[in-house]
Amino acid sequence: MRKNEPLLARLVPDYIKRFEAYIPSKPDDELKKIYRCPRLFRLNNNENPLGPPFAAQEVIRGFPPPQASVYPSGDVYHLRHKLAERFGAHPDQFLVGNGANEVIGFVIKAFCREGDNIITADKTFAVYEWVAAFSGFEARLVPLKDFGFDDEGMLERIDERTKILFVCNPNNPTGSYWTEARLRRFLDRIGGRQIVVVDEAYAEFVEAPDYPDGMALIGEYPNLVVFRTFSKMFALAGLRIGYLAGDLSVVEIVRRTCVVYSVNSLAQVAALAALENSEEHVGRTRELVEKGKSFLKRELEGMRLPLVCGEGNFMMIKLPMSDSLAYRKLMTHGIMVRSMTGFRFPNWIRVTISHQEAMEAFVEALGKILTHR
Amino acid sequence: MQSQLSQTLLQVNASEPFIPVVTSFAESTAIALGLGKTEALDLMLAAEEVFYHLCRVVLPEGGLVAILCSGGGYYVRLDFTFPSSDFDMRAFNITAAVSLSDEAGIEQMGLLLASRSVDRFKVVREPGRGLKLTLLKEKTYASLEAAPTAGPAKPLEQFIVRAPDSEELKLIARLLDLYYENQPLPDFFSYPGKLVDMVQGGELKSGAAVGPSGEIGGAVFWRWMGTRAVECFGPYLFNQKPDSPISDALLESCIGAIAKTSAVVLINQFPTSELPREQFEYLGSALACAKDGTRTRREAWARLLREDLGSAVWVHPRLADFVEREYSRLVLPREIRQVKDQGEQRSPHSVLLTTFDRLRGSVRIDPISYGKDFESNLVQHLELFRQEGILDVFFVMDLGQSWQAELTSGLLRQGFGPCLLLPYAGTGDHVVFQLQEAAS
Repeated sequence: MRKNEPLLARLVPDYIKRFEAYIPSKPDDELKKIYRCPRLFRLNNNENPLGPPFAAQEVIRGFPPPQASVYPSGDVYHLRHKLAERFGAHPDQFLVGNGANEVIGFVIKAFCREGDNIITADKTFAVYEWVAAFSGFEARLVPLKDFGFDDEGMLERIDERTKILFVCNPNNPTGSYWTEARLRRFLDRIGGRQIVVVDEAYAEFVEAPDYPDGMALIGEYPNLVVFRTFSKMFALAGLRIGYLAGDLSVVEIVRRTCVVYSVNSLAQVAALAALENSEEHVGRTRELVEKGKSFLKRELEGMRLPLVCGEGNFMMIKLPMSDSLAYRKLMTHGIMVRSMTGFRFPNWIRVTISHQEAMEAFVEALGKILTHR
Repeated sequence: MQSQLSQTLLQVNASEPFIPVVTSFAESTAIALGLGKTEALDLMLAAEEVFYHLCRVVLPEGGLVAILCSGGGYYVRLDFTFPSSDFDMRAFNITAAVSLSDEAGIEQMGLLLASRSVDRFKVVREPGRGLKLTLLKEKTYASLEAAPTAGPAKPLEQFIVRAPDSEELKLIARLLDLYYENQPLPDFFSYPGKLVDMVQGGELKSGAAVGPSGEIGGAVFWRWMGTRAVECFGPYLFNQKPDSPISDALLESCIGAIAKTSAVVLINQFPTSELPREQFEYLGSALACAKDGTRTRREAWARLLREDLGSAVWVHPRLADFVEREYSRLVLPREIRQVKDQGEQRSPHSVLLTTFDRLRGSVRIDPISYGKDFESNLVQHLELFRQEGILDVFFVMDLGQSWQAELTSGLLRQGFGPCLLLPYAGTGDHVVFQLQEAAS
């Protein structure tokens, strides 16, 4: 035994012992070496291939290097004011984090204590479940129903120790969404007894008229907390910035668990710029997604592959083979998709909608790997 | 690694006056963890001999020895961790004999007794801490008794998949014996009590397809092998239609349970006809005996559970063709590092771990440590297996352990050939060799 060796068996809580760390993908240059592919189309993370809005690109290009030595605004002052102006709310109704992932942790820490639980779906964005699990709280996972969140199933799982319900709307990876009427019914049934988090990471992609604007419902439902991100539509994923919005009383509580200074200066100014005249960028992106989806649908239906194509800049495809094998074979053709076993959808892959060149390369590679099985 | 263990730790100086403390600890903890009196005494004897050896031979000047006693339901395990890099374990070879005419032989006698008193052992280097020697003793169980058993009267139209309780597990063991009598099955299905303890101890997980009236239409089992691979058994169907949705539902329950863990691969070395092969990748096959003595080729299948991020493997030049062909076929990105003996100093003695499946006349060899005598040691083992009528001899090489690659030439010379590549089954990928002479 080494001197001063930590007694990990005693020091580490059981819920940490049980938790398995997530292993992220290797950087592109490494993956290209591993799979011996000279080019790589990244269709795995639902990134926007158009890049950030032009105004944000200008700000990033012009960021003065000496500014890197100065601490950022600790509470992201200017961006919160801009968001308040945009959504007709108070600046203190917003908390900005190092990506929306960070604000998930803020909310769980603010409301849960030992013995409490959260409720979400079994096949959705995994971070709600992970943060609860490695914080020592039970994550109750309700199976999806027809590829969508099951409101009745979630309500049935509530008990006196349930603190938060997470609804991903639209759902990643199925693209299903609750209409405004359905979300209202759900919130009415909850009646303020729990916090309801609606994650709207892909909201800007949705054009359906019955899709709810969570921001507009906060006034009516003060137990509602809405998550948004700059990673998807606004293509600032590499800068890590996202936020939550809620009633003043709720956000005041959540702020107590919030790590200040976690959002860097470049992310703050780029996000601020991204909101300026964002309609043009949103319009171009929606057009690209619509074109890519109709192309892929046509091609994949021709291959007789089952699809789930809802809202958002992605679709799911069921393959007649293991998704992880498909991932490896596609990688040798320079196509990176998301294999879905980790989302508990074995034999499905999720594909990000991208430029026509990438979509065509994907279809061609998929055709090859299905032919040469 | 996922089992719910009960653990007790004793830390003691390597000094002979502490021997009674160690033996008392080993025996009483083993009994508290469920071992029978006879098995607990065996484990106590092993603990005594190992500790005595540590005091006399390995740590004559003393040193802190940590002894962790843990129970996994069907077994009790002792882990000795001690500050040494040199521990001669040759007595742990099943073929070992000691000479009492010299001091070295006498020193090995205690370890020989210890090795024969336990069911399994392992030694690993603990970085910065020395060595960890693990001794494992299993409980004794009654074998499966013939009893009237039948599956559901007709195929289930409705079912749910849930974890079976203890009595349902015993029923599943009988149903497996009825419906899969002449197919290769892992040995724990032959001991219903052991099956229950393995499941309750957390080592084995299970899912059963249960009808509205409690009928059991099928089952699937899985367990961890190392830290990145999970081995599954089944899916098994009892009186269901061949295209029953129960197979997919059982498999999905297994995958759903491990999808968000550190598992990288799901391996099936006992595939049934119900295994949806299009969702798996073919790894290879080996000859194996069924309970009725017939020998058939048993396939192995796997599916990765996440994106493969590549890894490095250590391979002897004589095995390079096989692994390159298999990695290419399976599209597994690997950096193949070739290993050669360049005349460096080596330990004289090798240690091999043997695990018998006497029901099916097979044995598996895992190398524990390299020694110059590896090939002659292997020959002695093969002679013993021949005397015992063992037909199927397997050797498992871990490509994540560079020293194991050097065993390749000896294996090939003695008639072994590579038959399976199991991704992520150990520190790295495993290559399973089968003795061709017996297999032909």
